[in-house]
Amino acid sequence: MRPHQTMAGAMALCIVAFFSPHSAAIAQGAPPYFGGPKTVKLGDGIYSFTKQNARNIFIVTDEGVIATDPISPDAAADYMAEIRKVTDKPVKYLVYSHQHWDHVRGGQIFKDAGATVLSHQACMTYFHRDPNPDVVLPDQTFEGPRFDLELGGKTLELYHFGRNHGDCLIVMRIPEINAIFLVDLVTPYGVSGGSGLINDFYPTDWIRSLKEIEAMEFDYMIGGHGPPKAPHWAVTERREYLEALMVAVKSEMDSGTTPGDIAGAIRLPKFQHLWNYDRLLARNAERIRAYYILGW
Amino acid sequence: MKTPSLILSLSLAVAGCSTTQEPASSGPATPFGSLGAMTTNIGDGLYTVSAGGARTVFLVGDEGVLVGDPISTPAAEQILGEIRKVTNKPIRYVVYSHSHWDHIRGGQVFKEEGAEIWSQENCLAHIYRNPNPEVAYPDRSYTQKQVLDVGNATVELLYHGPNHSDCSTHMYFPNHKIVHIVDTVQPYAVSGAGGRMNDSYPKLFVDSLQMLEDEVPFERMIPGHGGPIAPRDAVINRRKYQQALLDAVKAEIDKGTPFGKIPDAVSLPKFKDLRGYDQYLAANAQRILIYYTIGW
Repeated sequence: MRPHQTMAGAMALCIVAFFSPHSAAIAQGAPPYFGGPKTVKLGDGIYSFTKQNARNIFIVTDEGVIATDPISPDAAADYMAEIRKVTDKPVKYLVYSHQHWDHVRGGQIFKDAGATVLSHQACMTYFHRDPNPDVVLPDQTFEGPRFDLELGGKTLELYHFGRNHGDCLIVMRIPEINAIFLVDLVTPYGVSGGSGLINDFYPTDWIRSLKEIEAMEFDYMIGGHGPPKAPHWAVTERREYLEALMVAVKSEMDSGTTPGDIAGAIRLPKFQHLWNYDRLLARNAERIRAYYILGW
Repeated sequence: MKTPSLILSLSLAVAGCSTTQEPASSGPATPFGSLGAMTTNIGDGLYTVSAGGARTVFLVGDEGVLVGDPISTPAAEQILGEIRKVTNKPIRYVVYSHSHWDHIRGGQVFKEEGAEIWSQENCLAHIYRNPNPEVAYPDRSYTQKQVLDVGNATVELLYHGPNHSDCSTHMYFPNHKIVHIVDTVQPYAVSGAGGRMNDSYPKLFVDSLQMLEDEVPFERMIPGHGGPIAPRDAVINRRKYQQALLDAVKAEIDKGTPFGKIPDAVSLPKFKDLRGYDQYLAANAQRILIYYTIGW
């Protein structure tokens, strides 16, 4: 029996059922998450907020609040207002999941409120060499594979798996609800989305990291895009999709298919239920082909 | 003085680091089969060789030979054969232009001749994270600048920050005032090979070329595909194209053009004569749009 089974866990199961890969909505290519409420309560003092197609979490403790990705200046103002609806405690920390601007712009409002901005040390290279006026520099960083951020008797476990999507992404585990906040490495129930070009991913390290994440203890994941809850197997599904894609692209290359025809020739029937399969599979394949040619 | 039009007529129809063009197992393919390696004598001990779908260089000094990219195992054997046509001196050094497999496979051929393999230090992470049995590990690396001497003939290995990759070496031959630039600049072409600008740093790219222009008194360049040689203006033109593209995409974002429409909305009439303009401009613009969205 899972030690942390809660109401939230039960809700997760409902969502799994509703968004099962066999559901008609997904098979027809409809997005698996349509927006929904801005803020969802996931446990005692644990929330997830979404705006502008991105999602984060926040944790309220007796000594203050731990906030995560501010998303953008506009979203951050809204995020702060949502936090203020549930607590008057000061925001003590703002934790960046990684360095990409669609997640980490807008931290100033938290910094002004006294928060310590925290990221993995490896992000600093990017912040320094290509500064963005909307991105507040971290005040504190950690190195190595794990750092436990403790506040008011609660712990947010921060895990770094090396390079995967960039090289400074951290996976955050919330032991109270036995869940992880997992940004961009898995966007549940879909192929690799956005433009489909698999931006800033190292394919082999991505798969390695997903295996390490699958081995973590958690009942559900909170994605940096998409629904507030997706089951543990959403991570497995993404990893298996990537592995199948790599095998398919490699075998198409080995069989002597004309280079320009390879991406369009890829078929992965086992994964055709995934959101955006029809629209973005070829682009995903094109990126993987570049991996086999360039080692990138 | 060579003119751009002459250069264009000399260039092979290869635009940018190639994912549409497979790494060939031997020299440039023709309807009549492989041409094998083609060597051009630049003068004063400097040669450039086209083989295996890419271009490399070698420099013959009083004490030995320095080679650029080995390209692939069969290409490296051809390049060694080309070197042996002009000298029996030992192969002292191999210098990897960056970490991509379409340029750096086959180093073992030269290592067995006693060569020491060099790369910029950031390449080590890529080469070690993605081992390829055909890619020999570098023996030595440098950070910003390294001078290698083969006896009255030197080459300066210069790192000007991220551009096409984050470990690209500009190989400068001071006696010839020639720089060997692989993939970052394809003379008088937009970014080709599908136009996705694989593994590039869109904004730092401009800074890197500007630094090269400011710090290095080169008069001509040898590219890593096509070629064999182009005037300094080819570098300036590529930098200006990149900056114009950044500016045009930013202007569309600021104007409120819907993201999905931006790639096709961009037009750069001043650069319409560049090779690949009609085919790849929109794909180039999409990559820039991703840069402005996520900072990558």
